[in-house]
Amino acid sequence: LSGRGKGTQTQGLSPERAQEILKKNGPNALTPPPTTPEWVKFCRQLFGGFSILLWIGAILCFLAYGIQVHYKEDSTKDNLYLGMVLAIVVMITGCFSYYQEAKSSKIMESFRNMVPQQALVIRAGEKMQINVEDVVVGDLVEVKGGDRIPADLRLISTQGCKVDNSSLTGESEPQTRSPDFTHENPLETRNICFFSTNCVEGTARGIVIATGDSTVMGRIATLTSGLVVGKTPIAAEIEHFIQLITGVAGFLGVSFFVLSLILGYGWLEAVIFLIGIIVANVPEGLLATVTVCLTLTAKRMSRKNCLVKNLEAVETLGSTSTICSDKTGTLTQNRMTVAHMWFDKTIYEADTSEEQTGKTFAKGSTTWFILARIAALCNRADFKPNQETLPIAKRATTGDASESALLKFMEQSYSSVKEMREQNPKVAEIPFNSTNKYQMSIHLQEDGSQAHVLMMKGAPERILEFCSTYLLKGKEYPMDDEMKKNFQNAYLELGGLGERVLGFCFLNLPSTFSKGFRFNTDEINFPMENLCFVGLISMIDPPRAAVPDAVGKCRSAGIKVIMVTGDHPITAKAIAKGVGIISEGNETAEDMAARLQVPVSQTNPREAKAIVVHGSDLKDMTSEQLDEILKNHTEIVFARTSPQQKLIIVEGCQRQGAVVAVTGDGVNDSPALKKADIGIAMGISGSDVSKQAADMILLDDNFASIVTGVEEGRLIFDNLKKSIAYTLTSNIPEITPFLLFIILSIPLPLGTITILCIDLGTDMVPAISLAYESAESDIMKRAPRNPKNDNLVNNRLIGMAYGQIGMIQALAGFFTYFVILAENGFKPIDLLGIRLNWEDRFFNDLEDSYGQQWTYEQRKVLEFTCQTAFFVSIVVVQWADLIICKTRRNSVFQQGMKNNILIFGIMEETFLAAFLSYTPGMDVALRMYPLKLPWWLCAIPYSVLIFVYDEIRKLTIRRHPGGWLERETYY
Amino acid sequence: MVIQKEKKSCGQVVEEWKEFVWNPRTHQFMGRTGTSWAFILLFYLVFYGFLTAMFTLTMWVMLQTVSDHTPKYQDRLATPGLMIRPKTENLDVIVNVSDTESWDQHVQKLNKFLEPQKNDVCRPGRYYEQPDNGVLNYPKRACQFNRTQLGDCSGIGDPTHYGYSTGQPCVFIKMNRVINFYAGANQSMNVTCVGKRDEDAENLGNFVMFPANGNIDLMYFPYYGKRFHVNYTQPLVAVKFLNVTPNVEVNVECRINAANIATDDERDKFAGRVAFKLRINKT
Repeated sequence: LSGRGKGTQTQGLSPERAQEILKKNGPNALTPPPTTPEWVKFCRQLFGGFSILLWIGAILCFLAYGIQVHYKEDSTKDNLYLGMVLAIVVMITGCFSYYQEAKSSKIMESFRNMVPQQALVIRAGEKMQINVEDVVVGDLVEVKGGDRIPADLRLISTQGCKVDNSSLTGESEPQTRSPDFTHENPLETRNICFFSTNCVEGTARGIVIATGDSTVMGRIATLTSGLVVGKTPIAAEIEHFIQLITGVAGFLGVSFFVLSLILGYGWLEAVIFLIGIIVANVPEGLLATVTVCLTLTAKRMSRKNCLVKNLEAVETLGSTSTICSDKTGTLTQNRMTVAHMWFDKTIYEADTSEEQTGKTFAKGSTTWFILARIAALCNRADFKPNQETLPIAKRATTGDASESALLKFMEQSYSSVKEMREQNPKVAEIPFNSTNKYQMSIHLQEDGSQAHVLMMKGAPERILEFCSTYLLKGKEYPMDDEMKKNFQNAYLELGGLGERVLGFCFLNLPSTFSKGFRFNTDEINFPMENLCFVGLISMIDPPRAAVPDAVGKCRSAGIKVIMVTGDHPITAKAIAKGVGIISEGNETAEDMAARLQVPVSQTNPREAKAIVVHGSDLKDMTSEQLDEILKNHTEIVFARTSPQQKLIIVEGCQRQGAVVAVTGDGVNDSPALKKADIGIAMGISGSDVSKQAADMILLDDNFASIVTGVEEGRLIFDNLKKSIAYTLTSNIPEITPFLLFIILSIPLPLGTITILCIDLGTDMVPAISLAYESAESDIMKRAPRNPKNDNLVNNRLIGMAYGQIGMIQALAGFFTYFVILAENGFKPIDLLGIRLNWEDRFFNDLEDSYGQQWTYEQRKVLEFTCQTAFFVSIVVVQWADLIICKTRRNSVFQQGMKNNILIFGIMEETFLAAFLSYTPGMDVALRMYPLKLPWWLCAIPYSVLIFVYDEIRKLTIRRHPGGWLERETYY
Repeated sequence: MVIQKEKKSCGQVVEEWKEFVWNPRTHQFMGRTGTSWAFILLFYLVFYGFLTAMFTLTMWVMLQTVSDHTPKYQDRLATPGLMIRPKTENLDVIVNVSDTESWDQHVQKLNKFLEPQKNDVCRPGRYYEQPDNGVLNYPKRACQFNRTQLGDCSGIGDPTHYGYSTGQPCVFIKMNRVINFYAGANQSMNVTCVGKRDEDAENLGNFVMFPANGNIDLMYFPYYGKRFHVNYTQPLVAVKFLNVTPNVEVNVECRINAANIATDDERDKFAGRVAFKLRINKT
């Protein structure tokens, strides 16, 4: 082992050598497990879902043709053609769905690659971040807590390193790692870390001993490949829907098959009816539409900084009813910022917004001048080099969070800290530690007086102890009780805001300590008492600007936002109030007690809507008690919680029947992320492990993006519903012609080919265009859907599509059909029972209502003209249907017609219908005939009726929320 | 994301179905209570009632616009079809000379078809126009078609039953009625018949046409429609096949030769023509 790592223990490989090895060994990645071969996927598209029904139809057609050929020599080839058309249709839709699926999985793949795994390697003595794939054997690698181990490593140095080998050994307990060789077995020894396991805490440095497939994980992975992926809710919904439709199609088909046999039709005819009914019932284009909708949304979400790892997660996010959010980084900006200052006995507010527009405060005061100097000079933080171009707030700094906050604040509001420090060189300092609770430094005065000034900052109460005077408008006054009281009040007030407060004081050292004096900080040889108190500065990690709005949106959307944080309860509560998780006017039991001035135990905790639960209390709670809290409080903050407790909270919420979204960034969050209905990892601050466990990654770590995601999720569900409602509606005008043809023995009003023209031609683009529909105004104002009983396709949707709009559409079609027949000589009454003579090809003098006589071909042309007109009528009523499907509750006048793709869809279906009707040669190819202009208008009254009826229905629903009509027809 | 999979046992499914059909706790039948059913049924009753009314209204309006006199459009009937009598299934005229029953029904049909009617005697050779001239001229009179014109096929005092009993059958050819159609465009027209293929022509042998040449007179046109043209009789052309080769199926095609009737429609085999099979079985 050491041989391999020779000479590389500190310098690492040279980049050239690394390139060589990379070329020889290949990239450090597992050969992907043999995925489902493409042809299997293709076959699944070809034979799955509705396709199988259509195949049955096609086979029946061929059978019917075969029988006809066998018994009659001069049989027509209609059935042969129909069978071929069906087969071609299935193949084309299969290809289209396959193409769509391939495209969407490619997009998802690219999403996954957008969060590449990085590894920190040392090459030629330089630390660099490279892609994990480029790590080679012999590389010197550094890992820290939260990282995924980039390759099999032999450790050479560690600091409290623990790894989680559960992905390899199933052992969930983190194991300590050290450079010592402890066991013969590589799996047991402590000095080896394995590829794709996780470093939980500490840091380690090691040399890569194996990469890619030759790693231990690689060898195991090649044995057992792939994870069984369960069905996501929307996949289940769609499958449920397919089963439903297939069931209906099968039931109707078989019952009419039997009925037609009873009515005395031949076997052959009955089979042809069966085919027609199946074709009419199956929404052939729907599955392709659904895939298109989902892909579209995933793309749209990634533009809004939500990276979706699996397509269906979008929809789950939409049904979220509880969000458990982290505080730091998600709700807040994750950078300490100066929020308030207290000097001259006044509290001044500083600007904490992300843009830092800079609020003005008493900058003219001498006290401010001194305070700023102390804050800038008595400060160990510094800007990292080479970022002068960045805005101050965005610059990276060294040093702890509060010092950085002070540094940035002073740079922003006062003057260049660098210059200040150059003019006032530091001669001595005592750094901050937790026993002292202060930090002190001594600087040379800049005015050239050779005198020194002692500056101190620290915990306010400690600072006050050092002081005997205080500064007010630049003048020193002796410390008195009033000042002390003022100080106490300010300190309490700022502390109550959840802010970290620091006190500042100074002392101009007497001239005996002028330039050249050697200050000794170990044995103090200078005065450190009777200092002059200047003021307080308080800092907070301020909430992100968009968060309060987002939380408000969640609240109106019926989503409970629970804050789960490791922070101090007071800070947590302050931020919760700041962002609206605890809304204005709501108070916790403690607040109530303080207001009523009674002990907490005497208040009724039920009266308080809000609660802050301390992690240590949570630890002692039974699950019933937790349930009680979750049930009775609308606004909950969990403070000082451990990641393990996060899991308990998630489980508690799920026990309430909630769909829980959880954010997390740490390694320890991954169980909670996995347990949640939807896990959300942070793209910037999140560890690799959390990103792997999550279903979604927020690229900007912003809580507001979750809300956008929820909105998108709801939108896609709504739009899918609309799209399905639209597509299903035309099933009724497609199927009723067959039923009446059989029952009333009238000439067939709509043929199989024309049905296919609707399903796969004119209905396709409009159905897809509904995916582009913008949200209705109530999308974030209604409660989240209940996944148990609010299905994608529910009986209200079926009732609307089949029972109401579909029926109007069918009437429109039949009206047009009767108009054409009547205008050509066949009055409705004479049509009843005409079928047998009508279909007799040797009956060439069939009499119409006027006594004229028709040959078989002449009346067939008329029949096909009627079918074309029926088809056109469906297109005309589908215009109205498309427009009413744009909204579920709002009026179209509120929603507007801004969806250009939808307008294009209407045009497209109209042009396609005209094309099919008027193109020369269509009479031979599809048996569609040109229509006279008035026949286009027959369906218009019904189109208007659909529009008016639905507008009235929606108006009633809006006027009477929760009323009967809403319960029965709001899908 | 964790996905729970629930597997239900068969018994549970049955149980759920039972509860769905009748839930004794909530008194729900098929997921609805009695009142709920009443409301939804009432809703659909009103809704469909309204739809029916609307449909009836539009149909009524439409029927008002349709005249009783002539259909609005006749463009699908540009070429009248031809048809034969006796009308048989598949248009095969099969005559078993010795088997009376085989042709008796044809004879019955023909007798009925040729039943005489009392109509006007018109001037031959020109259209019998009866224009409305602003006032409805109704009912229109019809021209008499004299059976005697059919000569040997008239069936008058015919012991051979239109030749069926002797194996020299008569087949009648008629042209489909089309309202306001001026067949022949003021020129005389006639029907001709041929065997479809060469061997058919051979097997067909001789035949005679009645009226002579298979002429159809213009006086039977135009037709004014069932409602107004009461008792309208169609002109007929009879073909008597004199010596058809027995026991062979013969394909015969008859067509009308008229200036304004095209007989070459690829699709419609009966536009201005008619094809039928003739078979005379003799033992």
